[in-house]
Amino acid sequence: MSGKKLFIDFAYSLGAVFFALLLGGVLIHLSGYDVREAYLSFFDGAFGNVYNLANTLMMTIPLIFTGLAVAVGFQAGLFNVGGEGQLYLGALASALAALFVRGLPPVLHIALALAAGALAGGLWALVPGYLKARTGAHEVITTIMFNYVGILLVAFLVKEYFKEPGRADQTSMIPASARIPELIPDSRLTWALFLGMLAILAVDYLLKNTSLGYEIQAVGQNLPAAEYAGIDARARMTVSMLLSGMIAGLAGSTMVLGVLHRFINNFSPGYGYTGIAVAVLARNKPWGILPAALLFGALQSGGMSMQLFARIPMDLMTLVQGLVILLVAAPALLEILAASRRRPKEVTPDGRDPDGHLQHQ
Amino acid sequence: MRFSKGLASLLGVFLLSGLVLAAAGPPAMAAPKGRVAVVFATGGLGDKSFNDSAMAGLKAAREKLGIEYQYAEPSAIAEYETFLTQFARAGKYDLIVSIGFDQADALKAVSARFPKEKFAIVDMVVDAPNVASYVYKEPERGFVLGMIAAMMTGRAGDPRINKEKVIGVVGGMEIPLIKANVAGYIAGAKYVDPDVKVLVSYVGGWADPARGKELTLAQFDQGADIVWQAAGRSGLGVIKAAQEKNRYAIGADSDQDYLAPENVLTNGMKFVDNTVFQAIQQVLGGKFKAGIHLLGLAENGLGYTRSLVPREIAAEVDKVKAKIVAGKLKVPENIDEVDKWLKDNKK
Repeated sequence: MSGKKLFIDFAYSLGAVFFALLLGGVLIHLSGYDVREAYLSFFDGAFGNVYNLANTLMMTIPLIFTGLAVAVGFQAGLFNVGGEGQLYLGALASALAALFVRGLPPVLHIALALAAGALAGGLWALVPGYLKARTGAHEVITTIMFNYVGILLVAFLVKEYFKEPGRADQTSMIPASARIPELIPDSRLTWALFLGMLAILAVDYLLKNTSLGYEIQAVGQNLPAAEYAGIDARARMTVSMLLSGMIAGLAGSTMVLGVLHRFINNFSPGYGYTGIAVAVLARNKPWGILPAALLFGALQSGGMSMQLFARIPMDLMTLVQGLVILLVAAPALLEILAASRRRPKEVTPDGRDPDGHLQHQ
Repeated sequence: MRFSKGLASLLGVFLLSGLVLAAAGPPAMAAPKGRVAVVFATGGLGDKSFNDSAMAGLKAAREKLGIEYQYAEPSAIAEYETFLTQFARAGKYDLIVSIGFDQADALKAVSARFPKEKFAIVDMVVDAPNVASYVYKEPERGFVLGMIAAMMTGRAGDPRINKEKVIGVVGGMEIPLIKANVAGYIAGAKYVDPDVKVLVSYVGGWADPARGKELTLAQFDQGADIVWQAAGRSGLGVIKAAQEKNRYAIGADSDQDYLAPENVLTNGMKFVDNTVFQAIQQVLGGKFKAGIHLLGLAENGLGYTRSLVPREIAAEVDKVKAKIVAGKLKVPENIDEVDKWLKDNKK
């Protein structure tokens, strides 16, 4: 991608955010609230002081992972909608590794719990990935379905085997050695932020500097050409789903090890789904994930303070967030759709489009 | 691109028109006699249960005690701690209230960090020197419902009542909290009529209405005509079964009459509104006390709704209720104690 195109994309996204906030302001005004006060409290809540900034970043972390997970899938032409289920699998696996493996020094214990989370999330995504590669079962359908199965499976496991006595469906607290340390005391903002950046760095390196990354992108951009060039497309698809699931699993791990310090049923307000919006906004570019996730983190934490200090009800605040998503993400989605509509012209002799779908004409 | 913007603005206009109708600004207030902040449970307002009831308590406190309130509706469990911290950091609230048991972790952390702030939690215990925990005397609620059911099952001339003196209860899970409710229910039933038989089943989960319904139908087959649901969402199946077979169901926690107006006999209520009101009142009166506050019939924390309960039965129930309130009658808390208790407390 040329620098100019990158700049235009960035400028466009920024403009869309601005326009969404403007439209949101109109809504706030029409609902009888003070727009100035609303947005002042919004920006103060998102970035106003160290504590609020930490809160924004705390809410950004899971979105970095879920956004990156979707982006990795997209690189191979796969739309992984299953981030939410993979996140829950990862979260529980991390909690169990933290609870049942004892006697490790802190850094090792955290690493082990993270690895368990990545593994669980990865395996959960591997199944749809394998099905896609082997049978062509559409990954959007299978990953969505796997969300339900995964979330309910985890809920069942917790209720049946790992529940702490009491009313809430949750595990016991994990030991201190498995907790990711805080960056700022009492802020719940942890070193997981750098873990997220590390993941972005790793994915960026993988895509730009390794043959595996090159092949994944080749499969994503032009499947027949990739196959013609001798790339094992099925294997690459499966690997990219595995990677995507591992990263989504880490989103759950960092919530458990850094914020909640135990697994709690239904802890996620949909980080996995918001990750899709993050990836779309970032145009699936690894480094674009960081500002995109930050935007959504800021919307959430700024919205919380809008609710508190401008007394704007949660519903209106969610609506403003929805507007931002709509204006920012919808044009990008339409572009992608338009691009995919242009592509079926490149149907291969065996009647498949570049995504490997059979074309019925 | 042009298309997407057109779509967006169209949607915007659509949303706007809806909002203009729904809009209402925050009311202006005189100098408040106190400030209270509330963090609701993640279900948010409009849940027809704990949150809405707590809100009613806040409004009552504004009218009768002249307080000013502020509230937050978290959308995720991770937000509890953020909101509690925000309120605590503001340092201007006389009381910060957590609604619902799943805020315990967050409240524990925040209350330790802000030892000078006063906190309260409803329906859960947090052991901290600056937290007042409000929980309920569960068996008393069961006792009142047991009395009502036992008096109803002997009544003639109601098509929803059969000849057998059998009543039932469907619990969510066999845990101490529910067993305490059941103990009260059995004791209450046998207190008014020792011949009444009480059937007890447990769903094994809080979110399985189908199984709740199945168990209720089985109890109807065994001669029951009134079944109390102490089973959360699984209990919706109990009410459904009663509606289908035209029997009686008894609701739990909030007023569930609307689910089956002809078949919900009464509801075992937790008055969260009164609880919140009392917590505020205690703070304003300088009587804030950390630790466990056990609320029962006497404290107006628990009760029942009149709903379809005949006047004379309600009058009878209220007489016994008055005895409990006066401390003359103590309801047993374990199922094992019920038989001995009945011997000691003949009516």
